[in-house]
Amino acid sequence: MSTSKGRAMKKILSTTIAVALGAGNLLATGFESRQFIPYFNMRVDQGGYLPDKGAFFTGANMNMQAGLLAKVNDRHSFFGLYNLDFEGQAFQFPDTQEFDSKSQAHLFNLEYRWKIDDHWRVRPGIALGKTYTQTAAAEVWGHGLYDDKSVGYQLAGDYDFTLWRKKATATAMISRYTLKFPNYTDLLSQFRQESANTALAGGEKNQDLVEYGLSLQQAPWRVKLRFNNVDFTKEKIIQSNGTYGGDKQADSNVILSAAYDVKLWIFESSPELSYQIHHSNQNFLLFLSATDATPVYASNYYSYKETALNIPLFINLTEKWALSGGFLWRGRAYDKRSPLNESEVFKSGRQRDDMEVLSAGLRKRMNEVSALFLTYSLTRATSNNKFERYLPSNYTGQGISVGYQLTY
Amino acid sequence: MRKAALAVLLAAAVLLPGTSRAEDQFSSFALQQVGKLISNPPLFLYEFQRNMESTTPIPPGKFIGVNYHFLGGILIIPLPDITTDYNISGKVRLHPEGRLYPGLPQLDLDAGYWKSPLAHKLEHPDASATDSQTKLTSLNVGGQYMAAVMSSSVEPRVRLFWGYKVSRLHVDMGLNKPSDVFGTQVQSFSGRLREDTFSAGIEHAYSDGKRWTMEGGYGLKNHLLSAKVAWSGTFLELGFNIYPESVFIMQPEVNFHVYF
Repeated sequence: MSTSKGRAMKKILSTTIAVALGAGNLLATGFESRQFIPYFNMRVDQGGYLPDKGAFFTGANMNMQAGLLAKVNDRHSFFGLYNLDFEGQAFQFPDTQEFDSKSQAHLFNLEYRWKIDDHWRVRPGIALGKTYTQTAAAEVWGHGLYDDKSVGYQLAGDYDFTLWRKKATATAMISRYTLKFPNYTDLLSQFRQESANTALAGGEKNQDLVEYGLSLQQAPWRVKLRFNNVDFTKEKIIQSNGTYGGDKQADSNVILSAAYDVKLWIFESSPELSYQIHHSNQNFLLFLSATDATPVYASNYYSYKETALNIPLFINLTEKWALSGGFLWRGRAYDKRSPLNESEVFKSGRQRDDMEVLSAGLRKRMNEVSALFLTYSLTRATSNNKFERYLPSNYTGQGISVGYQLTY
Repeated sequence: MRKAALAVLLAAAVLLPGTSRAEDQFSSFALQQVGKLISNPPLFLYEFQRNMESTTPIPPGKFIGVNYHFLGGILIIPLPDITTDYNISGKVRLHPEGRLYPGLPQLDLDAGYWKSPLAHKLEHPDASATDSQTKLTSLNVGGQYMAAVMSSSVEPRVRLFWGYKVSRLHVDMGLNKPSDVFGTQVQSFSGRLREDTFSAGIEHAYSDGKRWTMEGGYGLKNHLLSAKVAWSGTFLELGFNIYPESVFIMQPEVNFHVYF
């Protein structure tokens, strides 16, 4: 559950960070002399998945970004962006979501760009978002437990300078968002009929988010540091006696990432390494049944540290054809959470989840701006959490997908 | 495309241990998909209409356009579909790009209509409730749409376009006697669907009269997602419609069009 609302937050931030920490260069092309410059980027893919546990399934993903830059004059401009993101059924990170989970997000950003001089730019902006989710519980769009609405603003500043004789851009950003989860109800409160009316009205996961970001871009390097605080406006901390205490839930994230673009002969890659520290003061009660009167208490259940490494690779055979491949690894180590055994009993030690994806395929450039992909992937997920009645934690799966991408 | 992917996966599955289990999985998967199809017939039929709807912008220098949806279908191979016999779409350019004001986009108005004559051929108007077999006494399937599309140049050969489309579809069916459908006695069915779609896309004209287009759409009323990748020549358009949540995700189309 923590991960689902985390995904909602990620969707909101992904667009915002792309705009705010993008140093105002999201537009890939354009006429300098034009007053209006459109921007368009789209990717769709469809895949078939065969896990060693569970049934064969298919899924698709779609991401579309459509924007417009309106230049008032050389110093002042406005940039509006609409981002439609659909994530269909797919293999998931261990112990987070079911393969059948789906979501669609609609995110709007409007940014004012003020070029103060040749070095400095300031970019205040506003953002609105709406995310629909479907878990495997056959929800319909608009009634998802984790549906959310968000509204917020950002202030970003860019500084262009020369570092070691090469052009570099440093960006600092602050953003603040309010997220509302209108359908989220607290099952524990409902079950125990504590403040039942409030719980049934939803909104238990409503949260205020503040994010600070720093980035440095100097080709071929990109380095980002992000820090955010998530204050829950209603959700309280569960205590060892099984009741909610007076303190509200508060989460935080520190994310450091570095990426490097490399092109050597016919080989092309953009490896990226990221490290995240997630902290939450929320605890957990393990109920073995709906009538369990003595649930097991686990403190600091959701804090973890996560490392991810992504190494995509293209071998350009001709101008149009390329072999594609890649390796993705993501590992998460919980600070205090103990893993469960097959009988849903806590074991000693700390939970650790890992996922590796190896992929190989073909890419064909259709023209200057679009490409077709055919990709085979082998996914291996491992965890020392062995309780998998609801969510898969240990599995191996194969997938084949066809995708089309257009970047402009 | 889905069938092709399925075929490749089936072939891959043979190479793996546990092939018999995989066969069970595909059988289960097929049943799931059939269930989805039957659960909402108008929504399923609307995909045919979406394949038939044409909202790509009128080429620069042209004023009016006519589009006929020839082949579509739910499989990877283009086939005649329910909209094929009677369908027509028209487009008219209300404003060429930059005429009233520099940078002001081109504005097109599109509209289309289809009706299935095949539906009437399946009717048995004389069938009575005492007949031993269940027969269709009436079947009326059709739809129409209207759209406004704005397009503006990014480069001399590349245009970005946005559209807003209102689509309507109806399915009316009558039987000579009640029939059991998943435990419910049904003698008549009347379904209506309206969808308002916001869309955006890009057009890349790479040669005289030839262009690639890609567009994505979002249905505001039913949360329907769609994408389309198409190549068009002077008179012919070949494309794939992509519906991420559909029973059949990729659906082909073959259209004929002419612009004046």
